[in-house]
Amino acid sequence: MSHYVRSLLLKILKQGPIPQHIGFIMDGNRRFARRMNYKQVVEGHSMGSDKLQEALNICFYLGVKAVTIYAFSIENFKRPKEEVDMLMELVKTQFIEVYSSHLINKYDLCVRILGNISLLPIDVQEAAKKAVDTTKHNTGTILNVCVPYTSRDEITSSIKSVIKSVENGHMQIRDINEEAIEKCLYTYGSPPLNHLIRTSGEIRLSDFLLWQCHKNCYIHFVDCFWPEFSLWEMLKIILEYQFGYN
Amino acid sequence: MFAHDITFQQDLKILDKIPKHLAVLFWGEINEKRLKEAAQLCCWSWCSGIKMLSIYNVEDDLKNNAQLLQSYIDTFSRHFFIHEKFIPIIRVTALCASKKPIYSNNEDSNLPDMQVNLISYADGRPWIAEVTKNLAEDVIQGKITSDELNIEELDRRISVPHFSEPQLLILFSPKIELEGFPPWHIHLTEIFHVPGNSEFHYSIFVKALRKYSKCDQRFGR
Repeated sequence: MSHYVRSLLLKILKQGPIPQHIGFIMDGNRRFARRMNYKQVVEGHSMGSDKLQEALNICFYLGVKAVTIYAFSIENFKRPKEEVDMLMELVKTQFIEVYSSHLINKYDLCVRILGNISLLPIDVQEAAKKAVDTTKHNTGTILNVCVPYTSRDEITSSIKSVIKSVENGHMQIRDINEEAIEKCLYTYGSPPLNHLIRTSGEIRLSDFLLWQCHKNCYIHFVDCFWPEFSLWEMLKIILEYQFGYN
Repeated sequence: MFAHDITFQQDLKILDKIPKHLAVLFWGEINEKRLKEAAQLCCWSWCSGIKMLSIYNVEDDLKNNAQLLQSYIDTFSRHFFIHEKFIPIIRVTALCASKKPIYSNNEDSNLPDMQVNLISYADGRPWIAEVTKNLAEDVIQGKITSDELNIEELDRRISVPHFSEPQLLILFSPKIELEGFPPWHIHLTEIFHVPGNSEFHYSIFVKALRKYSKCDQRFGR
């Protein structure tokens, strides 16, 4: 698609209502690498990284306030050590890229880490903390990076926080409800989730944002690998949102 | 259709794997037609080797019609299994928010061959909030420590014995929207979407099972 047409399409879309919070399961980097006969799987992840930058640019340009990405599942620690180490290196590089990225200033971007950060290697923790610290005063847009994350872990952590509040006398047991649990979730502070997009054709949530997508959220299972996720797919999703808005 | 029909048996033979627990979400109003479809679904499911079936509607319509559904199942299964050696016991249960039964068919004291759970919005996030309250009480009373609060403990309490995680969820809805379906239970569930508010034909049932049969779960690896 020519740059001009792409620009025009985005400008048109921007005039209509835009979802405030989109989640991405960026699945299929490895399978994409195998299909393209790349020598190493890391090249698929690298293409995936580029695609992420592009997707973030489009989302924030259109006016999406928050994007949440599933960067690494706690379950991914089960992968071969070599691959886990490579993925941790990739995550660290991405954090370093993020806090020196033009996206930060262009969209006043605040980066948040959602997950059990103590499970990460120290150098990755430090890169993550730096990305968070350098952007914590930004209020324009939000990038929630789920690493290492599962939704059940998030819900468990939230319930533990609620119970701690009761133990400390800050809350009564009778005040425990859905809202109380929601307030302790990692995503609290972001708008409600409107869309959850998963690439690679798989039709499951894989323990991602279960609490957040359980109502008033459209789920899209897209049948292409993440590095192939195209602007057309985004346009379709935004257009559907705009048609259904009224 | 009967249980021993050739087409039915052939359709089942080619499946590599069958979900132990199948869930279905019906969007919109639950009318007599939907209840009869649910009754048919129970019989097809038992024939396929499915051990548990959960049927969800966001409102309590399904639960309020539990007895009627049980009678449709009893009628339909007498016809469907007429040529079989025995008619399976398919038992409907509907629980209210506090997990006391609204309806439970206790006439037959035998263990059911297949359990059918009727679930609604209350079994999702509100139930997780209830579990949290009970946990808070147990912590205050010293029955459990904060450190012992982990995913496994929560799973034990949220997934009550009759309603565990489904492997496959068939979603009858205009778009893929979960409408409050219990979130904790579907962390790894395959979601088969049937667009619109279609009738639940046998062909849809088979298509969903086939799709499930081909799914490759890597569990993080």
